[in-house]
Amino acid sequence: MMRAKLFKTLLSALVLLLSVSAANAALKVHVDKELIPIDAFYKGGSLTINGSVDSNSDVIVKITSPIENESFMVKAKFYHLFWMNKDKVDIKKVNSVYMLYSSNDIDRILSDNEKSKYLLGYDAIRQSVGINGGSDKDTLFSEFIKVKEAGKLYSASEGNKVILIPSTKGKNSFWLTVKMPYQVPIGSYNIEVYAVSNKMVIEKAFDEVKIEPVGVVSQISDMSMTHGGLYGLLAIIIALATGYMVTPMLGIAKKIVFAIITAPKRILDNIGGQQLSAIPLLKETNNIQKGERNA
Amino acid sequence: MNIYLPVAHTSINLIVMLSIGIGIGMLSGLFGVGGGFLITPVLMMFGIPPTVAAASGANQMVAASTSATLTHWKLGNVDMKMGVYLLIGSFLGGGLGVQAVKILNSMGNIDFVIKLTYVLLPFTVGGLMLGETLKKKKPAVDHVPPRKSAFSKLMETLPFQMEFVKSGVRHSIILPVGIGILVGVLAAIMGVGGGFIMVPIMLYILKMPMRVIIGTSVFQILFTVIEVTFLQSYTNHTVDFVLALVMLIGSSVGAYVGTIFSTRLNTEQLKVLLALLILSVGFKILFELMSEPTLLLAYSAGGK
Repeated sequence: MMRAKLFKTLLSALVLLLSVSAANAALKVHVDKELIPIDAFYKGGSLTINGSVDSNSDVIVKITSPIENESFMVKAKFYHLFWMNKDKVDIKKVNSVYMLYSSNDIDRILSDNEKSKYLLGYDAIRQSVGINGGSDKDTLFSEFIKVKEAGKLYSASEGNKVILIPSTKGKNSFWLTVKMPYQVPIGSYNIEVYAVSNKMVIEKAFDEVKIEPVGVVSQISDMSMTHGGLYGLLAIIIALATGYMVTPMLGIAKKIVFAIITAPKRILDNIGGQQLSAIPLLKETNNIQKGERNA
Repeated sequence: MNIYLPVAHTSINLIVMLSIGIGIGMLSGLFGVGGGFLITPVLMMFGIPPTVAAASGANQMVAASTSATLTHWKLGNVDMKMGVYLLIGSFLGGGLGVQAVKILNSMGNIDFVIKLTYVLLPFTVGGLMLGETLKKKKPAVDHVPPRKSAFSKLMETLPFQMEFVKSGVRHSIILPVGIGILVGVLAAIMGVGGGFIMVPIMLYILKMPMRVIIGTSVFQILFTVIEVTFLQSYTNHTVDFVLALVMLIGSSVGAYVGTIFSTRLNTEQLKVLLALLILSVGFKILFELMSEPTLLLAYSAGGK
């Protein structure tokens, strides 16, 4: 009996503790979707991240692909004539996709230490990656960023992208809409949201979004990679059938277009023909009427 | 309206791609070439990776050359015997070319090789065509019977000489097989059927009559591009048949319109225009290769 009472008391204390801690969690995040589907008409997707944060805090949102190693070729002039790929460079421990948004200028709201700790900003990435090959590492890194930005895979906003809306009870709502360009490859992406105050990260929250092909896009993409031979045969059969049908179909299309173009003329001719054929009838009627009058 | 290409992994504007297809089809209808050599560079300009552009270009050529082969077959313009020997060569060449693409891709220089072939060949073929057309315009001074070139004499000494009745010529089978290998390699690297190389070769080297040249060329091209499409799908996984389908619908309509217009234009003027077009493609790619790129890094094949 005593044990049961003690257990009940402990349970209620735990529930109370959890509810208090939840109430204290200033940063609350909601992502509007878990999956961005790539369908036949895909031209990129959008993602809305919103939530609430303490009124004296700023918000930073980072969207990244998992860390991996990437290889690049450095272009150089070949015999002082043509530009071609020459030396290989490996960039180790880097995100293939990196997007950074904030409610204010990151350099103003966060210290360098914190930026390095949480990999926020290109300078922080430069410190964390390893570059194998090539001599001038800083130039290579800036070229790496150029390639990524040109491919719309990297972006670091100057601030004010995350909109803060004053709310009640010492809280601010925040809102961010992210355009995920079609160049962002299929995969799983981490969404990290940081609440920042006094140049320090005071709280963080995580979520995830996937970009995956669905339906016919998924089937074709999978088939081309896993059953290349069958895919090739199908591609050939479709092309052969199209080539076989295209000439007769264009012939039919030509007849239809010709029929449409000449339709008004034919209608006019028909009307004219009917009027002409009506003339003898009129003449005949007139003759009958004249004959009746003469009689 | 955009559509997503499942192999190229890129999104394209359907109307723009159809218009490009129609434009290229019109040019091929006007000039009597397959248009493959125009499709690959144009697709590259629109952000399609060169390997996917070349492989999908070959797939598109399957449809275009099926239609042309059927028409020429009905007219009796196909020299089957010559076509089969050219095919043997182009099958070998296609296989070699696909392997070359695989090796160059792993070395990271396939883009450079594709672009370089698009500089060298247009300059050679376009230059030759322009030269021939302009030469014809000059009045003949006197009628001297043509002398056999050293090349012709050398070809006559080759073994396995054979009579090709339909074309009315006699050659060693080594010649069409060798030419086939060259065209097969180019088909795999450039994504072209090889018509713009094959036609001048048949005319100036094999000395075939023009009536049979086009029919035999498209017959041989059909089988070459079928082989290249299959091997590119199987080996390199670079055929995007959605892209090929969009391009071939546009180019079929364009080719039909182009053919109608071609009957109303002067043939010699058309040849000069085609030569200038081929040369301009070459100049554009040459300029790209020689000027400093905006991005000094490029993804390495399988770069992750």
